[in-house]
Amino acid sequence: MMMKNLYSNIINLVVLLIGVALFVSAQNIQVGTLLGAGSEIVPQLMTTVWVGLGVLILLSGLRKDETYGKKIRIIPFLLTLALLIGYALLLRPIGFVLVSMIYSFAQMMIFTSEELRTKRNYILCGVIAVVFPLVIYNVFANFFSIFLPAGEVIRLPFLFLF
Amino acid sequence: MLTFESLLIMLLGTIAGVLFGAIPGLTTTMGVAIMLPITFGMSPINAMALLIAIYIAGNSGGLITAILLKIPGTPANVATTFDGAPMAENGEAGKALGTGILVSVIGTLLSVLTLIFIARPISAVALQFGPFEMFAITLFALTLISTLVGDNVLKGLMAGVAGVTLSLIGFAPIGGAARFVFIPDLSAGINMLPLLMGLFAVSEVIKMAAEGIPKNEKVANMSFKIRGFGMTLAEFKQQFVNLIRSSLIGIGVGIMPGIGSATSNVVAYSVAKSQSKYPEKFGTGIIDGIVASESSNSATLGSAMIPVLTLGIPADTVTAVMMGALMIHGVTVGPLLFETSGVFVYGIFATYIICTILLGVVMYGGMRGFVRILAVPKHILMPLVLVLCIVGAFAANFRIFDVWITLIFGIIGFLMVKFKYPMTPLIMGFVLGGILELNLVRGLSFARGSFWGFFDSNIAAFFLVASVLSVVWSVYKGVRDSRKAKAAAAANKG
Repeated sequence: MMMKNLYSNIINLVVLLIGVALFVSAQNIQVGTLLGAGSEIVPQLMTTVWVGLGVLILLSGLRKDETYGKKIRIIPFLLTLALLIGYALLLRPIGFVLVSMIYSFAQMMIFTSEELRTKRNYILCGVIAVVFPLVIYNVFANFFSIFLPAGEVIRLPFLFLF
Repeated sequence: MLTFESLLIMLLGTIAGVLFGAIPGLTTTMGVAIMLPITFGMSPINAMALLIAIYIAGNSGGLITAILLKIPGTPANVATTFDGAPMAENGEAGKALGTGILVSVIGTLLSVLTLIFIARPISAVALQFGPFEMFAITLFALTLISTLVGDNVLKGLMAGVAGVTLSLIGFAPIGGAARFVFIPDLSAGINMLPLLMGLFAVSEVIKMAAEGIPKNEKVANMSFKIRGFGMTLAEFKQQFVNLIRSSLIGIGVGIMPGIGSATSNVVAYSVAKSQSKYPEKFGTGIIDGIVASESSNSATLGSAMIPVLTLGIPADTVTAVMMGALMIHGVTVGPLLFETSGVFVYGIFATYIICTILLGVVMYGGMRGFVRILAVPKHILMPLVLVLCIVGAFAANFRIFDVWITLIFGIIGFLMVKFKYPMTPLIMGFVLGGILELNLVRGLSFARGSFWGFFDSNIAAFFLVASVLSVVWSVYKGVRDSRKAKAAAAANKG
């Protein structure tokens, strides 16, 4: 039974361990005689409740036999996580437009099912992946005065459309 | 106050809201969160106009898919599928859609009238509240949400506690000590917008990658035609009692924190069926079911703003985002709002009414267009939604750190859904954490450090006892249901 719930028990254990770490941190909040007085009350209270609930959830999870939705498709899942991490890492160095173009196209390819792998779909995805970030960059810059990262290492020469 | 610009914002918000409600995979909360950064450059009333338009339209957009695809666009439209889908299969899709739109508009308007007439008296009462009462009411709202949402009360409570704990990160509002600041970027705390984007949008992209993308369903009946308002005057008269009763259910449910339109539509449908002279016809494709479901889910929309405006306590995730938006725009919600920003509050009322009328116009006029957009392939749409989330997260403070927060909460949101930890209590805990802490610390200071001082106030005592009872009752119910399920499983095996 425990093996069947292995992943959920691991998650419940991680939740409990985070609670314990936060509980320890809450005990060490620097409270001065005047400065900081009262700052520790709610953190200590909440983390205590967290640990208590964490123990109860872990124990009840060990006894229960639950099923958790669809099975995970591991390769698309890991590829998506890698893409998202790459997106955040490259956002400043190569700029919003370029990184969004790369991300969008790659993510569309991950999502594209077998029957949609056609030349028409590739072209459509490519065009949308190039045009959408450019339009968004320009709309935010021109209408909302919000300037997204333009790129520090690589900077596209055609960022502004209008 | 009503300018061409604000009208245009409401119109665009209504169209966007219908799409977010109608396209399965996109949600109203996601829509409001994605649009929030756009409001930064707007006046507070225009910002609210955009968000309210999305809120109202998102709820009704879901009826399109509920009727034509048999998939509720939002949880608020679940009961609409019961009779809406059979009507579409019987060639009455136009009538079902038309009726749904009409009763949605009427339900929302009734709810807004309630908001207008009740909000001020409640806020006058709430003005008398001190930290004891505010703490107790906030705690009650939080426990109610945590215990009502999801299947497992312990996980609901854990999500609520985690939300409050997340809100504590950074420097304390009273005392100023640093809490849970493990890296310097956390000293200013976690911004609500990246957290929302992560939980509601990025998690959906990760879920689609992990579980596969749902195929676009073919629209059951493309050749629909909406005649007039969908139903005849005679049918309207026949449905009048059902309409009013269901709207009142929606209004009542909407005021309660955490319950909302996801519950009201099913409750109203059940009541309509039990009160009907022909209950056996429910589920076969009659307008009674659509009237009950759509009027009740829309009637929660206005009343859900009552606790926000009068107490500063959101009723659902969308009103939580709206409350956050008001804070960003420097508007403090709560009992004093009517005194300090009366014109603004009446602007919100007017916005509600105009958005509701616009919803009717847009949905009656643009139904064909919306149906076509339902066919947009998800493998193209979802990556673009993620790009918009990154834009929103970055624009919140112009920090890459917030982009990381969005992605981290995307993974957390995915795991929460997968392992059945409800997200709503986490959002509510995050939004209410500050109010909870401020009033608890102030209350303890008034009561000279004794928590029993909170029981000196009858109102506070009532809500504190109610909070404890709601937890005890939910735990008891959970244990009882679990035993029943085990007994049933054992009986089946035997």
